[in-house]
Amino acid sequence: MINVILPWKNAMRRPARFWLTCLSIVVAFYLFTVISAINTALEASGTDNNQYRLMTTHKISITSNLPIHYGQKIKALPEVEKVTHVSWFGGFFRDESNQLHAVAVEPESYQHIYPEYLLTAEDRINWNRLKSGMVVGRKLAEKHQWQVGDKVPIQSTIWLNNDSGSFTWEMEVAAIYDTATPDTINSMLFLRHDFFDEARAYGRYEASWLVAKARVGSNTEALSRQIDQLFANSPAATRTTTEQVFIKELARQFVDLSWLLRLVVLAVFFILLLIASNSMSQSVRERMNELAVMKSLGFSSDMLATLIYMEALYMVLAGAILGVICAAVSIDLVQMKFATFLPGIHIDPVTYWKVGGIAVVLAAVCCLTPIIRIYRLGISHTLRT
Amino acid sequence: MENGIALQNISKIYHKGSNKVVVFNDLNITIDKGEFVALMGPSGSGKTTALHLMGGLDRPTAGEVLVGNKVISKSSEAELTRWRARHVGFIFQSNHLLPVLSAFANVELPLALTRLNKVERRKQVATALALVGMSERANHLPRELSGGQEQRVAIARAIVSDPDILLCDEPTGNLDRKTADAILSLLHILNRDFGKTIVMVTHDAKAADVATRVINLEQTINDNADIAIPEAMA
Repeated sequence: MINVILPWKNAMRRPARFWLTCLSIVVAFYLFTVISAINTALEASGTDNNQYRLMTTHKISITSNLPIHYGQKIKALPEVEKVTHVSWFGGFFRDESNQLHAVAVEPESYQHIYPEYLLTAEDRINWNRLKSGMVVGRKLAEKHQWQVGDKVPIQSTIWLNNDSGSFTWEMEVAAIYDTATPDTINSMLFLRHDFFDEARAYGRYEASWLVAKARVGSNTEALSRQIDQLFANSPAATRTTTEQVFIKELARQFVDLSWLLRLVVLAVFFILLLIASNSMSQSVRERMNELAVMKSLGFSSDMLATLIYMEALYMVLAGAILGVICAAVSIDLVQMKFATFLPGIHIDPVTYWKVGGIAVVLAAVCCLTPIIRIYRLGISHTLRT
Repeated sequence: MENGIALQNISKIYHKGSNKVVVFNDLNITIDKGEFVALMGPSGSGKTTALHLMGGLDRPTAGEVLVGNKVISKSSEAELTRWRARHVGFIFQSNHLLPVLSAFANVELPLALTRLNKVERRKQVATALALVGMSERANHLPRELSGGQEQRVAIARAIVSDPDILLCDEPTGNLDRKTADAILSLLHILNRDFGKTIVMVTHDAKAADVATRVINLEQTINDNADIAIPEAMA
């Protein structure tokens, strides 16, 4: 009992110092958890459905489009099962703070390649029937309270609509999709590519990227090279990679996440070592007399070291738990930010264990100096001073 | 000496930078079990050092400290820690109560080192607090107590595990006369009625009157002044 209550009371002797130290730990663990969640999504991409999905983009940049007819040549390759094309639509609803992750797709081929977006047979029929129909994720529909049949004006920041003469695209909610796995984002907006292509003022018969589904057991690396060779001497040369590599590279256009993760882990160590160690040392230094008295009462150095460790653990754990809670609360916002490029950002249960492990080790490291002082503590000398 | 305390041929030298401070040279003190001894002497005569040696808080440079039949000056740190928990209670001039714990929890602290269960611990703490007349203040924090009350709690903490020996370092040094008398009276009762061996360092002649014997350290040291410092210690 004394190992539990006394360290807590000692830790709370100076609440301001305790919570200010905690705050720095909160920030560090918050960053660690969020970046771990992003990294989890990065590592997860390419493990299930998408291991045979190949993404073909313009060799120069993803912002340059590719002719849609490239898809026919790709489809002719024996190891390719299906090909679809996708155009980035972007846009927002009502005001720019409601940014949408919208893409124009060819419904039949897209659903074949991306079965994780779940639609009923009735939904499919509905969408095929309705050219201006859009399919939205459950989360997005709930956010804007959209129902099937609602007519919704979507503003594009890129595409001028020839029919309306403006950047407004009026579409009807044809279906609301659910997702097969938690890694799949359910706040996307899909519009039909034929509707989009006919109405847009420029860029017809082009797509932002093509997706080929290779047959199971294919050598995707060799197939990627084969696809790129098809268009090597054309005006729009291509670059084909697996979807996993594509997502990682896309994300790395913004930041090298693995590198950042390592940096944050290092920052966690440094922050805790500098701030928490200093805080613990100061806290223990202030009560060396009490520790000497406890030794005189019969408390061994090991027991006192345990009490000090528990005190440090409370501080680091409090910071870690608050950091993880903040990360869990804000992870949806992070998910929305990266949704288009990196679906499936979530806090993996393993991250919680890692946080716990780091907290336990860091608590030990940051109370190392005070513990050494305790072992060296001369009772008689300390009591006299 | 019947299971009492003996300092035999004790020398104690402190090193302060390049200087050596000789506190004792061949000091011999014997205290019988159940005695109440007052250690007196001027500042710097080594009263507190002698007390710390008796409690195993410090080690002599040469010589032996015997408590009962045990040579504690040769015990390991771990052995000393266990021995102190069972056999010695300390009362300091500054009471050194833990400010974050209530009077009750402070007194209970030494019992955390025993195998007593919660009910037994509570019973023992209640008895100790009742003995020093602090039952009413059991739930108060040290800062809510007067100096005399704090010292009473410190005495309760020292006696709660029923040690054979009480070592007191100027227990009345910070108290007014009336409170000091009450504390001395309490120590007298602990010695007379409960048979505790008490060694008390004090400057206060009136405090020394309560003791059954007074050892004047200045006199003891002077008696041995002609003995040379051993080479090994120099």
